[in-house]
Formats: sequence, C-alpha cells, structure tokens
Amino acid sequence: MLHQVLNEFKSAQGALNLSDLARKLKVEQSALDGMIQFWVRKGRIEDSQLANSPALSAVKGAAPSACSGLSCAGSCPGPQGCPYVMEMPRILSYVKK
Amino acid sequence: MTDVTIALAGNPNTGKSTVFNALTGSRQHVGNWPGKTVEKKEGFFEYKGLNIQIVDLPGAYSLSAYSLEEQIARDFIVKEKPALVVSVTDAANLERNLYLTTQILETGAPMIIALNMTDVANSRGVKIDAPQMSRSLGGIPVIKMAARRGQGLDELKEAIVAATREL
Amino acid sequence: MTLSTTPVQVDYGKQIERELKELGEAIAQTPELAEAYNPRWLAIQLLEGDETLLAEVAALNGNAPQILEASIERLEQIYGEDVDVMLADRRYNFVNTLVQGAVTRSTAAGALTASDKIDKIVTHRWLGIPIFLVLMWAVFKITTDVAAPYLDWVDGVVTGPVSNRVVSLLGLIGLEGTWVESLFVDGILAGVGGVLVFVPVLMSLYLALAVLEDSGYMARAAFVMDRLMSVIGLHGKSFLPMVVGFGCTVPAIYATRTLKSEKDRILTGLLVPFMSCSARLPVYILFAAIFFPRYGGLVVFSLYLLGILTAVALGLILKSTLFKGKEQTPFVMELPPYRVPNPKSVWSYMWERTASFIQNAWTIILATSIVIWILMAIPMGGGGKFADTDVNQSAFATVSGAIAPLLKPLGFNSWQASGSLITGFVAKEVVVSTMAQVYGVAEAAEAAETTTFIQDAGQVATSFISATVDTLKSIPLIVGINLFDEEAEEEPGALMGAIHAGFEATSDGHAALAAFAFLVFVLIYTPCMVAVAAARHEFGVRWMWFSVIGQLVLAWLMAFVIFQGGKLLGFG
Repeated sequence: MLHQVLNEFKSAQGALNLSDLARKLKVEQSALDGMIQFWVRKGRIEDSQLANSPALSAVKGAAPSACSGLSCAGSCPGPQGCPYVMEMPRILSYVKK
Repeated sequence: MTDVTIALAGNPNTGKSTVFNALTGSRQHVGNWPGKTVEKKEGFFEYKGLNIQIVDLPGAYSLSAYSLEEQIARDFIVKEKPALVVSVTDAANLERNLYLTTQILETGAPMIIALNMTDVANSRGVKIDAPQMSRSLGGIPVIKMAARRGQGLDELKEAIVAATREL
Repeated sequence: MTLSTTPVQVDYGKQIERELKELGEAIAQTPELAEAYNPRWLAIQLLEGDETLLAEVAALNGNAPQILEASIERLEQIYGEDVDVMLADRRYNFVNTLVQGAVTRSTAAGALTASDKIDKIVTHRWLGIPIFLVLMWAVFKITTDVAAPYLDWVDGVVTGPVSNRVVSLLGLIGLEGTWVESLFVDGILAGVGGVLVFVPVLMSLYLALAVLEDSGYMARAAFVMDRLMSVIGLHGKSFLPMVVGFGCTVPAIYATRTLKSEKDRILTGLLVPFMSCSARLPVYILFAAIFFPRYGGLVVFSLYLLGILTAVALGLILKSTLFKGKEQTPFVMELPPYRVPNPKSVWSYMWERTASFIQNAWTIILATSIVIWILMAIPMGGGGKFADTDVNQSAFATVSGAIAPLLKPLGFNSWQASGSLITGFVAKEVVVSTMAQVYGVAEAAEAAETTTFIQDAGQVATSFISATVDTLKSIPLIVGINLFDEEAEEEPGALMGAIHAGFEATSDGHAALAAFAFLVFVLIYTPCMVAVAAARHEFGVRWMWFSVIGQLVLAWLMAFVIFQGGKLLGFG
C-alpha cells in the first residue's frame, strides 16, 4: 500500500489530482492522506503546506524586507505582506533520495 | 466505587467527545495529564449495576508516538491497562481511522469498535457491513452509532458491560 | 484479571514475523518486561525504532539491543527499505483488505462528488486550457465593459469638479494663473488623476479574479496550466509565480523561491515578467478605448494571451539552449472542493489589491508626476522661461526626443510616446500618467466653467447614478443584448483625441497598428524598477541585466514585426 503510493508519486506523468489518485488506488482520500503523511515524515514526499516548506512563507515574508531599501511604496505594503500573493493549493511532490 | 476503568480512543474529529458526553452526561472531571499540557477528561456512568470509569484519550492518528497526544494515548493503553478500549471511528473515513484501531489491537488490549457517524457515511453512499467487519477481526464487537443523534448509545453501553463482565 | 490476547493480528510476512518471534522470546526472558508489556507488541515497537522503549528494554535486558540490531540489519538487507516502512505498509494493507471486505459504496453517490464531476470537465486533458481561456476572456470582457461607464465618471469628476475646486482654492490664496496652479493642474491632477481614473477597472478585474480564486477555480487553472509548464520544461510548481504575476511581477519573482532547482528558479524568473501584471491594464484600457472602441475586451485579452505565448516560446528556446538537460518532477495536487465564493473574503481580496493600487498612485505616481512636470517646465533651447516654455522645447521633450528615432520603425517615434515609455520604467501605470501630462497640456488651456461647490457635488452624484445605469445596461451586452441607444457613440475626450492624433502623425496614418505595437512594447519591456530590483536580489546582477536587456530587445523586435508586418499585410 505505502509503496504503491510512493510509486504513483515517482512515476506520475505531469500533475495528478489527489482525489483521482485515491480512486485509482482504491483507498479513501483521508487514508491516502495518512499514508502521504507517513512519507512526508520519512522525508520522501514534500508537502507545500507544511510550515517548514519554503513555499508561501518565503513569498509573504521576503517581499517587504527586500523592498525596504527601495522606494517601492505601494507594491508590497504592510506587515501582512503583499496583497497579490495568492493562496495556492497543496502540492505534494516526490523527493529523490 | 468504580468497578472498571475503560478508555475512549480515536482519531481527531471522529465525534469521540460526543460519545464521551453522551455516555457520562454531567458526571465529568476535566484536568490535565500528569506533567503535560494536554487536557484529560474523565467521567463516570452506571449501567446495569456496573460503575464504569471512562477516560477520554487525546485524539491521535496512530500510536507510534510521533506527537504528545499519541504518546499519552499509547502510554495509557499500554501502562494503565484499561479493562477495555473503545475505539471510536468515523465511518465516513473508516480506512484512515482503522490504522489506529489496528495498532490498539496490537497492544493486546480488549477492544470494542464504535462505528460512529454512520449517518454521514450513509448519506455519502457508504455502507458498512458491521458483522462482516467483526468476523474479520476475530469477533471484536462492532457497534454502529450516530452519537450526534443519540443512535446506538444503548447498544454501546450494552457491549461495554458485556465485554467487561467477560473478563 | 488477565488480558486476553486478540485473536486477529496483522501478518507482517515470514521474514518479519520470524524476527518478531525471536525478539519477543528475548523480551519474555525478562520477567519485568513480560509482565509490563505484550512481548510481540514491544518487539514491533522496537523494530519500528522507538527509542524510549529501547532504552527501557536495554536497562533490563542486556541482550535485546544486539538481537534487535541484527534483526534490523537482516530485514533491511532483504527489503532494501527502512523496517518501519515495511511494518506500516503491512498495517495499511491489513486495513485496506478489511475495508474492501466490509464496506460497499454505491457507485451513484460514493464514487464521484459534484466537485469531482465538474473537475472531470474543467481539468480535462483537452478541454482544460480552452475553458481556462474562455473564462479569462470573460473576465476581461466584464472588466472592460462593466467598468467603462465608471471610468468616464471618475474622469469627469477629476477633470471637472475636482480641478475646479483646486483652481478656485488656489485663486483664493492668490495663486491663480501662476506656475503653482500649473503644477497642481497639469502635473499632479493630470498625472495622479489620470491613473486614479482606472480604479473602477482594476476593482472589477480584482473582483472577477477574487471570485475565481475563492470559488476554487484558480487551483484548477494552476492544475491545467501544468501541462503548458511541462512543455516549456518548467517544474509544475512554476505556475504559482506565473499566476501571482498576473497581479504583480514583484511578489511573483519572490515566489520563485518555492522552486528547488536553481535552473527552475531563474528560468521562471525570466518568464514571469511576461505575465501581464495589473499595472499594465490601465495602458491597455486607455489605448483600447481610443483605438479599438468596439473590440476593447478582445484587444486586452489578446495582449494577455500574447504574454503567455511569448513566455512559452521563450521558455522553449531557453530550454534547448541555456537551460539544457533538466528533467521533470511531477507532483500531486489537492484540489479543494468548489464552493460558493464568500462575499467577505472576495471583498477583502479585492479591496486590499485596489488599495495597493491607490497607494501607488499617491506615492510613486505623485512623485514621478511632479518630476515630469518640472522637466516639462524647464526650457532647453528656444526662448522660454521656467514654467513658461513651449513643451516641445522642454527638457523632457528634448531628452525623450533623443531616443524617439529608435522607435521610428515601430510607428511611434514622437517624444511623447518615447517619454512615456522611459518613465514607464518606474511603474507601468506611469505610462498612462505621463501620457495624460504630455498630451493634456493643450486640453488644460480650455477655460473651465465657473461652478459652485453645490453644483459640483450634484454633478458628481448624478453622473455616478448614470454610470451605474450604464453599467447595468452593459451587463446584457456580454451575452449580446444591446440596451444602449444606437447613436450613443460618444465623442472621445480631448486627451484621447490628442493621443490619437499623435499616433496618426508618427505612423503615416496607421494609427491603430502603431497603437497595438505600442501596447505590445508595453507588455514585453521591463515591468518596473521594483521588479528589476527583485530580480537582482533573487538572481544576481548578471541575470538582472540579461533579463532587462532581453526584454527591451524583444519588445522592440515584436513591436517592429507587428507594425511593419501589419503594414505589409495591409492592416490598420
């Protein structure tokens, strides 16, 4: 089961939808999620929504600090970060050993 | 005055608290686990002349001790050896929930499975054959419930008393 | 009271079971352990690598650690995998078999949710991209159509009542007719006002995007775009910066940090500026209103599409040259279920972005407007004095005019056009504010009617109501029902007329073609100085120059092809 999940991640051709993957493997999506979390803990799958992922935090935190030396004015105002940053869906990707 | 102590285990969001409240009513005591910042809920109920103390374990996805909650749940089951563990599972997410149930099974603790939220599962077209499940697990009682609606509570109490009397 | 062992156990397979048995027997030899734990359970925990339990066991049974180590070594030899993975895998198999046996799902309700059914179509291999394009086209159509009447309203308010108030206030303190009045009216009001006119347009764009975002569609768009991304050899995750780039290039460049490989980051960073940011929209809308009044939505949409196609083409070229030999990393995405957009969060998305645009107008645009006004007031050659010179002799015209010949083959070699493009380096909205300043000079000469404050307020209110009526009338137009009177074709404002005349003069009568070439130039060349700084910060000075120079050369080439090619083919 666990290996099947990891193999799907390894051999996927292009983007896959998590609920499609659950149907393909004939597991409930929540169970699939549990297995994915197992691999995330083992460092074999990367989850974009985890706190330690560089994903969104980098965007939100970096823009204002990098701008501070410039007269970038309205481009990235306030401590809440740039208003143009969008919340993106959760992305899971295979990590090569 | 307590005849037996049993534990309530399950994943987060399985309606475990609803089951706990329905069983104990107002006879509850809320404190912390010794030396931990995690809430510990205990309660009492009486059924068919048996005084039962029930401990609500923290919600956990496994007993592998990845988190504080998992560690507390595991230590209680393994070290305190409750007379019975009621594994509360969300029928709509059964497959994920049964991982924890399987690990409880491995500890060797006597167990009952409370198949909660069957109403939600039904509305999603998920039908669970409880007797078949019970047979596959070597006769562990599987009780269908919808604790939110008060369904299956008496059956659960009945099964708890029957299981603890057997011991 | 004794604990009965459970009758059913997970079967871990021959090899593991053998080790479990051996370990369990070793544990059972220590009475303290055998009493406290189920030996098989303890053996499983030890194999899974539980350190606390191992320490406890080691303290009571000196042999157990060696036995465990040997077991783990044997198992890892056999399976080539961590033992805890093997154990968890068997447990999941056990659960899966159990569920397969006891659970039935009625195919009607269980297999596909409504969300899944929509996704079958929306994220379909072939339909996904056309659906995305149609939705985007609808967004720009709505943006341009619905916002147009409000655009006129804001324009009317800024050039009418607000200007009148400023002039009469200045008159009160005796500054009427001085250079100070000119600074306020021709500099600040023309520049900042010229940009603020577009607030309704951006609001409706941000509203449409916020609805798509909040409903869950944007996630699908990203999913669909992955196919395009992989054609260019980009990691699927590159769409995140790309989508952010439609809002603003600066955070999009920072968003490339989500990519692990440096090649991915730089390649994405080079392509992100071609995603048309919202600051470029005012330029498109202004020009579409002047030169393509009937096909505004289509022109705007085609520019966005051209930006995407340019990125794809450039990506393909860079992939086979500078960024050779990169392999794909596929990924799995969780598509959140669709939902009815929440008005509150849609409003806050829209408002935060609009506020950022307005803030820009009051800071960057205000500052550059003043600088440009000063440059336009300084005479160079000719016999003028400060603030009293022929604009064509001003410092701004002289400097901009020096570059203009380079733009001759593109059809817009006036100092006004080249000047707007130069100031556009500051920010893309500045192209519009500069145009309003350089072409607006003649307009300001018209004597404004004297009105009272009450009259002004009344006019602001009634024109707002009529703008709202026009907007409501324009909604059925989207599906082809025209509620407007046929003769309602309005006369273009003086500014629009001046821009039209300017492009007519430099393009030998191919004004529309030159205007489209100008828009393409605006689309492709350097987005703004903050984006350049962001690129330097993220990718270093070398890549920054590569990007800036590349964009300028490409902008020139594409505008050239469009203007000259269009003339050859007889357009415009």
